[in-house]
Amino acid sequence: MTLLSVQDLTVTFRTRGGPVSRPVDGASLDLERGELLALVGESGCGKTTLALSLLRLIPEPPGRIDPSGRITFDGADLLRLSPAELRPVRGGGIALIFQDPGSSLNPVLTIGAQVVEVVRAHTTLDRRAARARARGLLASVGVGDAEYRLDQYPHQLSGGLRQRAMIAMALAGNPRVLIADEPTTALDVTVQAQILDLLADLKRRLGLAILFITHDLSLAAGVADRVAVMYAGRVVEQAPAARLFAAPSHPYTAALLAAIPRVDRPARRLSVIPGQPPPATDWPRGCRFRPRCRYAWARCADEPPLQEAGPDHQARCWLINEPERRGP
Amino acid sequence: MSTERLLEIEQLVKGFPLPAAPFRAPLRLLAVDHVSLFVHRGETLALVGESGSGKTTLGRCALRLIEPDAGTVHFAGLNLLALRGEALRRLRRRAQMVFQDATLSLNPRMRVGRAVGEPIEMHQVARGAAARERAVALLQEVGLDPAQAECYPHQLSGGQRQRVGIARALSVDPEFLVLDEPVSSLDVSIGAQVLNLLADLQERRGLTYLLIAHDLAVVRHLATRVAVMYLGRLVESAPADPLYRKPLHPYTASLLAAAPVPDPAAGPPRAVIAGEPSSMARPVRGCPFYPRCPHPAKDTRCKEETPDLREVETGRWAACHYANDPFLAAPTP
Repeated sequence: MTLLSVQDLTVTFRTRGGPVSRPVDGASLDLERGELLALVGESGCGKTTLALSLLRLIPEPPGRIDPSGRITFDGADLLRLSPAELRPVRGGGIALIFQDPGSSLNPVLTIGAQVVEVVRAHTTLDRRAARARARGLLASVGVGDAEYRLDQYPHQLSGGLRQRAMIAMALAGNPRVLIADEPTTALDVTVQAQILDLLADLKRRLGLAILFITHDLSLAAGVADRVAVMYAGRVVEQAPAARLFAAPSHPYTAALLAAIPRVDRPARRLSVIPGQPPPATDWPRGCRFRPRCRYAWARCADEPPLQEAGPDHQARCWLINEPERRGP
Repeated sequence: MSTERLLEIEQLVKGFPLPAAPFRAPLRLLAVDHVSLFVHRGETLALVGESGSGKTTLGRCALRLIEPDAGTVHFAGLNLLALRGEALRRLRRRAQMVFQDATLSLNPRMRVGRAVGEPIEMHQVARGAAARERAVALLQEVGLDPAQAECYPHQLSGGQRQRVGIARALSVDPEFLVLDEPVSSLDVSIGAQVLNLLADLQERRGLTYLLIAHDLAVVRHLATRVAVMYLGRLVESAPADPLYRKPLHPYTASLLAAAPVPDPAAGPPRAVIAGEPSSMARPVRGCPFYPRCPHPAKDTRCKEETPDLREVETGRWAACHYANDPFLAAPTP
């Protein structure tokens, strides 16, 4: 069952005297109850702007969420809620963690003070009870010696522990959705594996639905139930993880997969995608991947709609109707 | 590839002073702790490790961009640490560095054509119009348009800036390049282009690379041999293929198990070791990896006695008492 649904979301940024930027331009996706959906894309594809827009966290102005879009959570359209109505959703319904826990934590407050603050914002607990709850939250996300950690400052914690503290704060309001924006990018690979374990565990244990935003298709392969691939402000393909990696339907997904260096498959030459991603101020006309696509033909001058490419699998590409063009 | 050792580092030590606590003796952080390694002419030695392993410090010592505290560095038979003045300058022409973030390593107020031409004039390879011509030819060699010589760094994309960084390193016709995380700040589709460029340049110019990287997948595409560092120590070195097939050190095995693979059937990255590398937590005695080691055989010997790097099989070195019976991460259930 769909818990969080994004339909035709468009976000624009107006810069003084400069061109209008449209980092998210007609993006749609559904997050199901209790699933881990990976939103994958390269820098500048709009994935972080999309995540921030879900809780209306982009600064308006200069940003603007186009009112024609819809973000439905728990029966309410988040784009039409008043600030007072939105407040309990932030952290209570949907919580957010970021890439760099070092810059999201307050360096002059102890971990305890910061977790307690969030606990008290979401409950009526007194200070002592909130501290006990904070300790429990830290322990539940694998912070050993939680009582001791409560009195430490962020700089005294390693990167992995800081990210665990951020996750504990995100869980303080008992959210049903966790948006994790590149939560492991700043971490070492062995620590990354630990945090991925933790997210999988939270999904199982708390039935949390997770929107996992990453630039790394390899990570998505390991943890996601479903994967949505974003390019130039739109979701260009989505499918269950097993299917997306076995039979990618969009040429961008296929090309990105082929360009990933792999530990399990050495090759002196990697396959590449020519050119570079377009800027958000000037998305290409027609299919946005057309200038870089090896299969592009006349039809691609028109923008393809998101269409069925298989069971629970959609992609924005005309090749779905003319598979023979893909060649043998 | 020859068996000539173009670069040979022996027992290299480099420490940095830590902020001193009042009434305590000042401490030094041993970023590189008695590391020995060599690079054959024409090959790529990859230096792999997590943050704080000392790989970047070692790379800088290898070019004497920073002065090591002890040990020796020989380049093409010359004792690099004994060279002074003009002799050192001449050697610097032969060994250059490509930095991780070209945005930070290029002068924002210098057109990229001049950035590439500057070392050409400085090392008196060519002057004036000849130097400019050479700079443009280099930009073309790394896949840029000659017209882009007139651009400032901010007018280029990240991938293009990294190409400029490579052209600048190549401008004095070196034999040897230290590549410090050359693609880690780039997107996948752009990183693949740069990795292919580095492979092409190596073949065309017969270059020798010391590739510093944290990403085992990136390393796999370029490396002839791999050296793994942990908290300042070299823990394993081996030719690339056998190392990826059967790592001998439990830390290498843990790194490989944690490396994500773009195939859902391969399962998620596996956290076979807990905790994080911390130079503060590094034991004074015994194996530096002891606190995190997943090897079932680890015992008091590991706790007491620092294992030396030893040749376990021909060409394969590991610093583990149990390297003959290596730890293998269990396959995904």
